[in-house]
Amino acid sequence: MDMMISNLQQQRQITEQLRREAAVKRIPVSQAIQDIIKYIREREMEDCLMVGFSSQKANPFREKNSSFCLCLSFCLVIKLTRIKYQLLRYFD
Amino acid sequence: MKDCKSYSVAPPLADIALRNIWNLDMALDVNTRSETVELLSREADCLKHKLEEERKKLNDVTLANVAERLEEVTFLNIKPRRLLKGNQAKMLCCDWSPDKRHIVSSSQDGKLLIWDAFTSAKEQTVTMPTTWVMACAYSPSGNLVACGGLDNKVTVFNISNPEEDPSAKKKTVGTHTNFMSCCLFPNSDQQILTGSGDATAALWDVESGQMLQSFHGHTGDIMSIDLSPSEIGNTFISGSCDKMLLLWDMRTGQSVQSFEGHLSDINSVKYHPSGDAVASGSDDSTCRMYDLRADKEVAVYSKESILFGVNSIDFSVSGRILFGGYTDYTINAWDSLKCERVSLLYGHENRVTSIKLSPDGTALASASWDASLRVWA
Repeated sequence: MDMMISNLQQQRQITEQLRREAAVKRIPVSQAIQDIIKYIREREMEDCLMVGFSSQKANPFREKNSSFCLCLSFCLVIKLTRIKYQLLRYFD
Repeated sequence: MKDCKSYSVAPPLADIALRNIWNLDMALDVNTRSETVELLSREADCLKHKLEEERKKLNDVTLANVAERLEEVTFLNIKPRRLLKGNQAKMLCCDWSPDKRHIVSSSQDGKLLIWDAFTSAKEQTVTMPTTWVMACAYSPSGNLVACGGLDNKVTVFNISNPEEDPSAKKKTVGTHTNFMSCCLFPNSDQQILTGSGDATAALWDVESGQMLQSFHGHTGDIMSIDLSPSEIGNTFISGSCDKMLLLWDMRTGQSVQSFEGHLSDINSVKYHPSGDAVASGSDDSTCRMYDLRADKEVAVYSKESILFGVNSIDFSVSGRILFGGYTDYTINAWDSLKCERVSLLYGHENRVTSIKLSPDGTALASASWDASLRVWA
């Protein structure tokens, strides 16, 4: 008896769930997709992870010593080119 | 004596009469009920058929086809920016503070850590009297964190004062009958929504610890929940080991829509920022997207070379990029429209368990079994 009643309750739940789902208003997939695409396209330009930052300063997680690194690499490049020129002159 | 006799006769008579009525009633009841079971299941079959037909009728295009003409997401310049080294324990969950700077993490050894993501420093440590703290979440004010796991409970800590030991102001808000897998504060510090291994979700009042609403419908462990990003925010989605996603109405406690398609446990669910679609990540090594208004699966994100399960997913601010944290130690970035992989973030040395976009969308935090958190930007 108990089993019958619990079966009934279970079945009632399943059917009620389906009734609710059947009552849901649906739109065509094409329209839903258009709306998603529109939403994304309107916001893509502000999506930092997608288009990056307008300047690295805007990135709160930029390397703290990035400017320092940049200086260092600049110095290195200048030094190297100097050495290269010296070498060239030497071989000439 | 007379009274006694009449009494001794009367009750059985009444009893028999009553029993007869009761029997008759039961018989009738069973009769009508057995009929109803049949009727109900027949109606259910009809409804299922009707639903299938309708979904098929409205399925006029595929997302990948429509998105073909869009330009590609070319060069994602996302790099590992911070490494937050924890103790030896596996990290299980992480969440951003609304201040966009702090991160809370929970781990297998029962430690709750509050990090400053800018400086990579550990700011506060809370030790829980349990292991496997599978979920943690910041409240909208940033003053409270909720967490729980194998202790079946959701516990709230006040972390607003860094000088004070947070465990001094600890509050157990709710208890499930199985592990708690996920939790979040829906819109205010006053309520907590939890999902559990007992296949139910529940809404709790933080102050009184009362259960305000419970959500029954899943037949397997609930692994993940997410709140609708719309202003009203009265619906949420849940993903479960029964391979189903259910959409719930928080006020009535009823499930409004259901989605199936995954071939294995669903580990993570997330709303698209537009609020009109939801995505899920599963042990079947795919992510999928479902549109709520078309009431249908619209995209599958998978690749033959990806064999391991997805543990956690999140969208970028625009919703164009879907990030997934995988068991194969990687984070894959998918173009949500073209359904192609656009980047692979490699850095973790073990399973990626949780990934979260920062509140302003400038960074992605990931937690891993390699006992560390990473911040990507």
